[in-house]
Amino acid sequence: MFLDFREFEAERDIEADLCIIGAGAAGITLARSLIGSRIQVCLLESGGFEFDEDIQSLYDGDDVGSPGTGSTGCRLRYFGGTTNHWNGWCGPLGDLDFELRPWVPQSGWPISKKDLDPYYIAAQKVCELGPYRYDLDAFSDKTRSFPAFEQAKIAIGFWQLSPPTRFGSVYREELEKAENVRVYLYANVTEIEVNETASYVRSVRLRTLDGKTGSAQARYVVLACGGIENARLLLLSDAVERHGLGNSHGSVGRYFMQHPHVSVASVLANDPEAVRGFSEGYKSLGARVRAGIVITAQAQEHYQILNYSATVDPQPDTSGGYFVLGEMVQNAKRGKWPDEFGEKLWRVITDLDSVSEGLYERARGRRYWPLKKEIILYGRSEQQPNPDSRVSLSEQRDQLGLRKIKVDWRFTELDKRTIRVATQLIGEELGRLGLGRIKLHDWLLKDNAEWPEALWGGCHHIGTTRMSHDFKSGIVDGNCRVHTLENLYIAGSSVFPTTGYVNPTLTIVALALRLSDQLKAKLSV
Amino acid sequence: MRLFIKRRRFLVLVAGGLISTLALKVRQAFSGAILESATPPRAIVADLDQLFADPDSARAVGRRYLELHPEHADLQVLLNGARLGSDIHRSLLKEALDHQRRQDFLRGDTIVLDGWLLARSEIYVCTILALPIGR
Repeated sequence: MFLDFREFEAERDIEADLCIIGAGAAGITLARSLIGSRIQVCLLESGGFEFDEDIQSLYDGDDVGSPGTGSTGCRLRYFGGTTNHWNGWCGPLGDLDFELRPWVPQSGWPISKKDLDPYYIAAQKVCELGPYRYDLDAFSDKTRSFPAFEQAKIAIGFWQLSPPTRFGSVYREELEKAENVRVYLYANVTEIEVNETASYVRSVRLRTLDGKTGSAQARYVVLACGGIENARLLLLSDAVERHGLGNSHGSVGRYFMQHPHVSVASVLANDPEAVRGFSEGYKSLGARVRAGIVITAQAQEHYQILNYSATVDPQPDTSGGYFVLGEMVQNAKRGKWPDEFGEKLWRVITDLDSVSEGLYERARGRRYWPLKKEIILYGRSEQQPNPDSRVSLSEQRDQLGLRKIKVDWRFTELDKRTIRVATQLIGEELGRLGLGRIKLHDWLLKDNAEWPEALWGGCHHIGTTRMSHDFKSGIVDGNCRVHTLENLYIAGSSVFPTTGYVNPTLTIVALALRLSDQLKAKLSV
Repeated sequence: MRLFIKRRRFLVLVAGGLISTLALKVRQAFSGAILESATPPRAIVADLDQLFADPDSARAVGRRYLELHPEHADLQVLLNGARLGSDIHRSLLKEALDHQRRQDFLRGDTIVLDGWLLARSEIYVCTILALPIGR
């Protein structure tokens, strides 16, 4: 059932067994998993069903650290959250991502990959993916071969591609019909109210943009607002604990990480067609997949680096006569005389091989897509947990009177060394197999802290309310409960202690499903 | 350390295993001969030039390497460094050179010049071409 909080009378109190704050991938997954149970759920969403500038402006803040943070542009504040514009790349974290790695300070999760595997299987379905397989045997076939890389260095890794699932659209009807789930739109949470010892959540305060207020009370509360907003709400809730909830050690908002996405090298390929297998999405085993190159666990340990992946992005060569002819034909259809007609005609005449090859492929119903010999190697890397990379509150306030966020995204020496070493390992293997040679980009060769302007974080906001064994080194325990609060849990990528290289959505959904089981047990259903 | 090599020239250099062919010719020229710490004879260099569509590229790589490592301006040192052992039969040399290149990459025995990641044996063969020509 959907309700518009703006239409309620003032100071309306909502009561439920479970209150979920935020209707993105985590919040919607958690709510859906409880449909049909005896648990009464209220799901609070700041926005409506469509993008709204005023609501979106509540995400405004300052990015004071590295460019490419994307704290405002990346996030969407309406039903479905950031799934309203994600690109669907999915994969599970690897075994090593969960383990304590002596060369990576603050690494290690309080749970293992095995703890999460059953939930990854279920998450595959939620994200409309294929079977829970991400290995080479699953996705290589007679029509597609991959290089036999040295396993001590690199391997082929896979992503599965969600359609992408727009959670707000795909699961809207189901939630509409659910008798035990009420979704409150335009219900902004402004504070989490706790008892005098800050050990228990009493209620959450709500407010609309036009000033209507109310509250929600529940036995359990789950924060599911995303990697930045989860931390913000804890910091804003400072009526009892001056530095915010769960923040006695000053860790809320710290360890902010993303996945640095950046072009790392040019590859001169001896035969660009030989790498085409990695560069396109394709269908296999009922899944849409994309291959890439990943650093093996063995290499991470040997070279003392983080996890890393790269995709090979061939560049289409449209300089040939076939493409010039196509452009001329299109211009003729529009009744337009092409610019530099004589030069273009000369290119067609002198490149009749391209013209004939293109027409032949077209006659066979196939796309003609010759490749340049120069290919781009594009990296997506793990980041080292860094307490100085953080989300905090600025002195500016939003329309609700709440302090805005300030994001200071930072890098470490290990982040850069990982990308350089990993790129060199890829170059060594491409050279060894006779596939080509790489030219590392200049910024990688410098030992300073310079990073390229084009770098961005993938919009993967991670780590700000990290999991840990104890409250001194993190915010939530292995069950995602805030260490210092009996009934407050957190869902989403803010709880990840480390990032791996892989996109976070599948893990977000898996953790939400696992949390659902725990809450069902708590609520004795 | 920076060396400007035009992309197109470099492409020509690596295509078709020309570096391996070059090394074969060098080895054949000196097979059985006692090598002084000398420079390749002019006739040999002329033959080597013809192996490349753009021999200036190979020399550019070699010259830059020599700027940084002048102690390697020695034919025997370069041949040894490229692991062109004297007990390899001439007919197997090309294969041996290809193997050496692969081994260099496997071991991580590489050199980065102006961003290009190359096998040590490749660099050394280019450097031979860059040596001053002898009699």
